[in-house]
Amino acid sequence: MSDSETVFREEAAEHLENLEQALLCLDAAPNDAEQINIAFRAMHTIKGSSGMVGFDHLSEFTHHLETLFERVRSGRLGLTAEIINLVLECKDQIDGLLRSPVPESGQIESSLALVGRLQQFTEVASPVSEQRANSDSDDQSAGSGCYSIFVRPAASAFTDGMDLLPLIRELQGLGACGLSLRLAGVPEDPELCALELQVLIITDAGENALRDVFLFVCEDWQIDLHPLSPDAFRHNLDRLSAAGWLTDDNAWALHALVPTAAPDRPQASDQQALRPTSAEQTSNASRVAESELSIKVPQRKLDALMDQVGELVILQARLDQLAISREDESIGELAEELDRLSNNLRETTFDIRMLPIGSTFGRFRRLVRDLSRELGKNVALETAGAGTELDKVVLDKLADPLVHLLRNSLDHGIEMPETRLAAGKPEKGTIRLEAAHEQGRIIIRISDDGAGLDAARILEKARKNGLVPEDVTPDTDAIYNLIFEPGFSTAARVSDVSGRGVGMDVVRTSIESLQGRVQLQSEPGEGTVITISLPMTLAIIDGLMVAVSGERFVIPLGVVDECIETRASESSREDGSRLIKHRDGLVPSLRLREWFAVAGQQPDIEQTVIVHVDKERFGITVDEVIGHSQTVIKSLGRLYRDAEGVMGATILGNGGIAMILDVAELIDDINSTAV
Amino acid sequence: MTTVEAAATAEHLQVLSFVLDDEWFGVEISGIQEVLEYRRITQVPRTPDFMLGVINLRGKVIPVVDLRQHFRMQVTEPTIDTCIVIVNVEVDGEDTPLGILTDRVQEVVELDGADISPAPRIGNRIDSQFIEGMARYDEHFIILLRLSEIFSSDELQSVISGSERQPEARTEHAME
Repeated sequence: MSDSETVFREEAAEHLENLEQALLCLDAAPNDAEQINIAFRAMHTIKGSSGMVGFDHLSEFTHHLETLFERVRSGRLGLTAEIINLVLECKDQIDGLLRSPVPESGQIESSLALVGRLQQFTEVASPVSEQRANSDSDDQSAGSGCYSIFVRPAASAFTDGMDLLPLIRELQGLGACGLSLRLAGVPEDPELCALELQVLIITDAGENALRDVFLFVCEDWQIDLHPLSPDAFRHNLDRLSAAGWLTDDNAWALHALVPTAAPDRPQASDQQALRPTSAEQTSNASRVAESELSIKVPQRKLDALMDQVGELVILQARLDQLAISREDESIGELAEELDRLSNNLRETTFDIRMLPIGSTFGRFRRLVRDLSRELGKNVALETAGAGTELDKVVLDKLADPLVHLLRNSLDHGIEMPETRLAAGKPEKGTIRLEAAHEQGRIIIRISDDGAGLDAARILEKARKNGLVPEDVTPDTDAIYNLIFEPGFSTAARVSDVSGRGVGMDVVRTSIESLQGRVQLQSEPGEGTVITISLPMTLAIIDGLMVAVSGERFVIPLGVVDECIETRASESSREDGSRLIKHRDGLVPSLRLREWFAVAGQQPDIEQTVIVHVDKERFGITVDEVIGHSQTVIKSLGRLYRDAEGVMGATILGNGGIAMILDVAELIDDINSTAV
Repeated sequence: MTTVEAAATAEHLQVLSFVLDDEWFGVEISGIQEVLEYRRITQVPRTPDFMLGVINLRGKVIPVVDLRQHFRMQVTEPTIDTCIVIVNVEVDGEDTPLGILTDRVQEVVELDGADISPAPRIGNRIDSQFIEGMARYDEHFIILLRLSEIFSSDELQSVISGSERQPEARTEHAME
């Protein structure tokens, strides 16, 4: 695949996203001119650039879509939910067409079907005009206008994969053209473009339409477009044909077309045409300003930067140790300075990887919209905290579980409109998706005002699936949590949307793989709240360093409640698990030495670190608690991906390695052996 | 790029030879990153014994395995000759650096492609699927290892599930 194709795809994906966003906004407010413009611009750019990189079918398809939207933009066609749905379907079709320049036969068929539907609207809306030129003339330019366009492509145009020909074709489609193409010198590098294009055009489409032709090349190409009075147009024509740049036939044909009358109207029409143009230019300008503020960087480079900063932090720790052991003030001073610098560097680097979660909200909005229609439900998605930032890696892995949870809420949570009305609730259901920072973690909450979970049905189902023995009745919370068990599904019928029985357990596993936890609360008749709590980043954690014999271990600080002294004489079971007294109760705990089979002498007085996972308390007994440490998490790699109870390793200041404990997994292990 | 294929096309094959329990083994040098002196290996708890743990290689955490245990050979305490050979192995399509503990690293030997014969089906201590081929060098037989096969996830899975009871056994040992 060529580079320009890759770039095109990336850009097109972005434009499609903009298009979808705009459409969803228009769904709520169909007359928002700005959104209509955004949508139009997105389509137009996709159309133009797809033609340039050889996605001809896609270009053609988008052209029809653009025709429809042009009507919307000029106010001749009102947006209805039906049209928006159709355009959204087209957007999905474009998504599919982006995969390959040559579409599959099935894709062509569905394109044709969609185009047919598009044309229904375009034809119904303005039966008079088969040619867009005629219809445009009413409001946009009030008759034909003459324009001169001078185009000098950027020198890199060819290497960028740009082509003039599609542009020329598009111009020719807008009206009668006189074209002259020439070389502005011989370029030193044969790959550079030194072409100049002078176009004289008579069109009904208006200046806007002409500018739109160049929308997606504007930034680095020189484009001079200005309206000409009929006299000036003729004058120019004569000059060009005299210089031999236009054939006489061409020139005469154009002469015949030059509008004869209307001395005042072109003025007025120019003004009319100009106003939206300048508005568009400002929005273009602001777009440029925005894009200048951010740059796109491949993930790989960021990862490399991250790795290097990680190594720097480790080296820093070693320098600190050296400075302390040397008792050399000058080294100590240097180490301190460097410490500050590397800490800042680390924070900045982590910050680079943070993305606002709002960037994924768009696709959820679409999901809810489509699904609720499919299910015949009336549901609104409210979002809050779109600005909450998350590590890119976490964000990527979070998307699927969130989709799943939203589907569940829609399918199982929100009731049918009649049921809701009968229950005295508003007909329209609401799903809230919120994100926030809380106590150094990211909290994502999905709440619905649906029926809530049906504890009786869950229990019945769980008994049937053998998850709960017949004679045991867990409390309500425990019953709710059964839906996270593998192979569980409450949907009475298997729907297309959810209910295949692989779902919630997958959600839980993927959240846990991100060091997160899922919690669920439900109130019958009131709705369900699912809370996901995640660490800010996967690459570094605050840890509590502990030691067993010579071995160091790190316990994530987030789960640590306190440290207490315990006596070694308290007996423990063979596998290291036991109960210890803490405050008024007994806390199950394990002795790390025994659980991990660490050799060495057990001291008389040990330390037990009390940790919690959800509401469960738990003790981890170690020899010694060393203290707080900033821990850079290193993966143990593929070979150790099944290792239980550790989530990674970190490199110590002295070059040694400490295991980072996965407390949740430890507790699960202990619980499963204790049964 | 199996070694045998490479050998068939190329005249010569350069192989780093090392010793495990008095037997000579070889790995094609293109897969070898470096050879380290023995250093302390940090255990990863509750994992099979032949997976010795991890070492810190310039800020990267690299797993180290003991092929002697994997091949059920005799295991001796590390000596001054003990080395860790860092190799790049493709595990499930991902290039993974890992360390192999060896009793002694010999030398880089040049083998003639024609001298390499396929592994005999029987009479081996090692499963023949792990062997790329064998070659005679001086008075030794060098067994060319097929590392990607040894570290494929299927193989590891079977080893791991085969040693499921390992942690308990180790615990008892520690309690004695």
